[in-house]
Amino acid sequence: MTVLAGDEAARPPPSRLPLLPRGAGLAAGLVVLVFAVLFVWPIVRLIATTVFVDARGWTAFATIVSSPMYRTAFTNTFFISGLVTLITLLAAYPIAYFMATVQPRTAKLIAFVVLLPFWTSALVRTTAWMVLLQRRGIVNSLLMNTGITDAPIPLLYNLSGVIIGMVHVLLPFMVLPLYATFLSVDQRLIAAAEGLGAPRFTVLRRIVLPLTAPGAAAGALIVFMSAIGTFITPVLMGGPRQMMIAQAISYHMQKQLDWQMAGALSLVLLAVTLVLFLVYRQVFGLDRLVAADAGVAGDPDGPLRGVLGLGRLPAGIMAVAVGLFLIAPIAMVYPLSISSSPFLQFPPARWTFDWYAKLADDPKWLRAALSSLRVAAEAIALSVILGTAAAVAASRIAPRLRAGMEVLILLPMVVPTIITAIALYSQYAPLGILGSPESLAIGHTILAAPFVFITVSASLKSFDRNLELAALGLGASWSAMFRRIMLPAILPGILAGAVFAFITSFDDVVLSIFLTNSASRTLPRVIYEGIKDDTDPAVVALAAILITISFGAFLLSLLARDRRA
Amino acid sequence: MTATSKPESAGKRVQISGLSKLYGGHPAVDRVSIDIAAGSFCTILGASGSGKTTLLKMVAGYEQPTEGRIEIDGRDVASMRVAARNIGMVFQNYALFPHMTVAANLAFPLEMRGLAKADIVARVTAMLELIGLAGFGSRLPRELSGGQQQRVALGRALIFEPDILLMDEPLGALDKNMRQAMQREIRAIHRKVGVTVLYVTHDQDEAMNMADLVVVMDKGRVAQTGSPLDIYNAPRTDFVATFLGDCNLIDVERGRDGVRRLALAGGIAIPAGVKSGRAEMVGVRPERISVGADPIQRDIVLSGTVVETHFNGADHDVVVDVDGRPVRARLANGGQLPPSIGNRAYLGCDFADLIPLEAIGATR
Repeated sequence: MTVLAGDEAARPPPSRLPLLPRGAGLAAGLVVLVFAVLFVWPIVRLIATTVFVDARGWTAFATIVSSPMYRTAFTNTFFISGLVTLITLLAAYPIAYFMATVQPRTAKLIAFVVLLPFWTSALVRTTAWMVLLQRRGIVNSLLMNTGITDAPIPLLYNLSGVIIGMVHVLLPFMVLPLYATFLSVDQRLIAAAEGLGAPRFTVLRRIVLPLTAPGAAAGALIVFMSAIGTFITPVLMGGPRQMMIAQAISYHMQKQLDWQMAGALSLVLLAVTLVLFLVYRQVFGLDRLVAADAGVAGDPDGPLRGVLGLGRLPAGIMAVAVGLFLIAPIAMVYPLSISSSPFLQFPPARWTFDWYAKLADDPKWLRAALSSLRVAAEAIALSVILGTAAAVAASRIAPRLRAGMEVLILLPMVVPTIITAIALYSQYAPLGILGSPESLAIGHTILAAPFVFITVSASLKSFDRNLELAALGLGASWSAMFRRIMLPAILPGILAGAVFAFITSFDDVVLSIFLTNSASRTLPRVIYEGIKDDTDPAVVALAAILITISFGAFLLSLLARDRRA
Repeated sequence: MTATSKPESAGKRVQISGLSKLYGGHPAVDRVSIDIAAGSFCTILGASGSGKTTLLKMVAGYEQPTEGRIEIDGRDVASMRVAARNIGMVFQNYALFPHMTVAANLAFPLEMRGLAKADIVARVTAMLELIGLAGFGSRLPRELSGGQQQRVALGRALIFEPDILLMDEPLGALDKNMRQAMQREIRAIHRKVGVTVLYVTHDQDEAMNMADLVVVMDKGRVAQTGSPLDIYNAPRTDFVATFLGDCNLIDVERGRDGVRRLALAGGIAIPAGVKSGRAEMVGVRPERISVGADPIQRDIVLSGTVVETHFNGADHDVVVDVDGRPVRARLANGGQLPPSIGNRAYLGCDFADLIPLEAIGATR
């Protein structure tokens, strides 16, 4: 009986609270200020005070173009990054496709495996690969025992080492957006194409590939962007001929003490990264970045189930192969850590817990572990406060301001860590706070805050705005409302963010190398020093412990996610 | 003293005058003035986009008016903080705190007001009793049915004895039977508590059967204010006549001889003494028109062919084509059947049944 009035245009836009924007604006301003002072300013200052100090500043760029060393570094960077992007794309497509065809449970398990490298420290993963790929390592003995080769193949300290290491760590960034895109493909389109007489391969080529191309492009951009700033993997797993820009920056700073050159290289690397980031934001939007990092995709019902009768088997085989590639080095750490052979051969002559005993004997490990934990605790506390404040404020300010704020807060995830590291180094050194655990904690806070921002923003999205209005209307002050109503609702997001913050801090090598000294050095730095020249078997035992810790943190975050859902 | 036993804590008078809200120059609420007597039940009826929810949000304090005054018991609250207005609000989706039990939800506003623990417990118990949920205090909202959640939301909005209770389409999510039960229950609770209620709805039946005062809104403005009986029996415009209930609209023409005629069946002259004769349009409610297979003794008698019949349970709707113009009549279901489609039928009504209307644009 009710009839709608004709004029629908009069509908008001979503309401804003009269009393909150001022507070939200203030909080947003504070967060922006903190990021500007602690993160943006050191980078700007680094470049301003190193490159453009004298007339030679501009010639540094000419040197970059003309000198074969830098040309090689740039060629290497783009070649290696391109190759890694291509390989991850080829490896990710069958997995993402397979995940979309299986039951949600299985898809979740695969996503878990894919995410495993993301959760284990770069150093631990690299250590594991170095042990597996060395001349007398498992891979070579397998190849020789099966008669594929007669002599060991050099897999390490060359291009293959760098590629293997980088693909391993960057694969999740390709699989997750691609999988999300596969899930969003409308199953009816495929049914329609089949109904119109398209054979299965044609459906794949003409329907599925074009529809998933945006996800592939998004993943490729992220992988490439992360690849060009890579520092640790090429240093440890590559040879001198695989030097990339990040390594060149560090070389100039630490060995040559040529800050001008390091600054110029940083500026170029930073510019390329920022351009890629802005392109990504323009084309795909930051929501997708958030989704890719927030981890395991939701639980829709494998939408492409049964579509690919023939292709599913090869896709499944590929998925298993890639899964083995992802897990093997991480899993192998455990048996290797109790192997008696100092060269970490496998299978070893006998099993032993000597290496664990060695860890307990040498006080440097315990000291480093305590230092790591202290820094991590401080970084968690600070980044949770900063990231949560940023997320709450961002959700309460005008959309245009919010967009700018999001870019600023996500920047530390995007800017190559080596640049952040030397910028903070050059900022802290004159202040005399270099080497203190607090200076490293501040660095880690900046790296971790974006993760907290992402997870809290996600939980705020599902927070019913009316609950806030209701609480205020029932007499609660804003702080009482936050404590009693909003905080319980976003707590899972905060916990997940805290886990991310812990992993970020506990696994970080790059900032630790630059910001700690022999007294305050953290576990990752000690490991780095332990494997840089030769592999200390004790490090493998430590790696096993660290993987177990990361694994626990990962499970914790899954629990937090389930509570959120 | 508990919340239940003090109907003397009657609500406050609410005067809204010249209230407007502009969004980017476009008025969502346009110079609205309403005077609501203390303790009365006022429904604000309108289609989506009519500005009714924006009006409610301004009274609650969630929206800042562009201009105008909102006075509660004589004091202007337009710039007052939400919490300071002492207003209870029931949200469309209830907005119950999902992590708190029913009792904790009810206790929340009392805690915020710093009441003593024992006092809170007593009041919560009394409120659970009032809303018929005694024994449900330790449940979580998600463990309750829609109707039960609705009652908790109502209880939470009433427990701190607000001067005014605002309800934003509170029954929208319930099915028809539950809606009717809840309508009765809300009325009963209102009678016990005596608070002033502003109740937003788009459902005309709900607006009429709950209210002391109905405010019909259209395009941000008040189309008409009055008691449900007034608004239904004496709508001022064709919009209100058709928005609340069904109404046959008939144009009135003035002939060259000065006689006014209904633009129907070749023109039916209206005698000089009929007051509605001066309007440009008149309306006739279908239930005022008698329908039958034989001629009827009324002031106005028409005949035509039956083109549609609907059986509504309590009555039959009969649409008769009178010289190419459909006229709707309603026949109470008293056992006798209306003429069937294609047959001739006679319609009749009196001049007193004609409602003078201002033509501003009907809703259909």
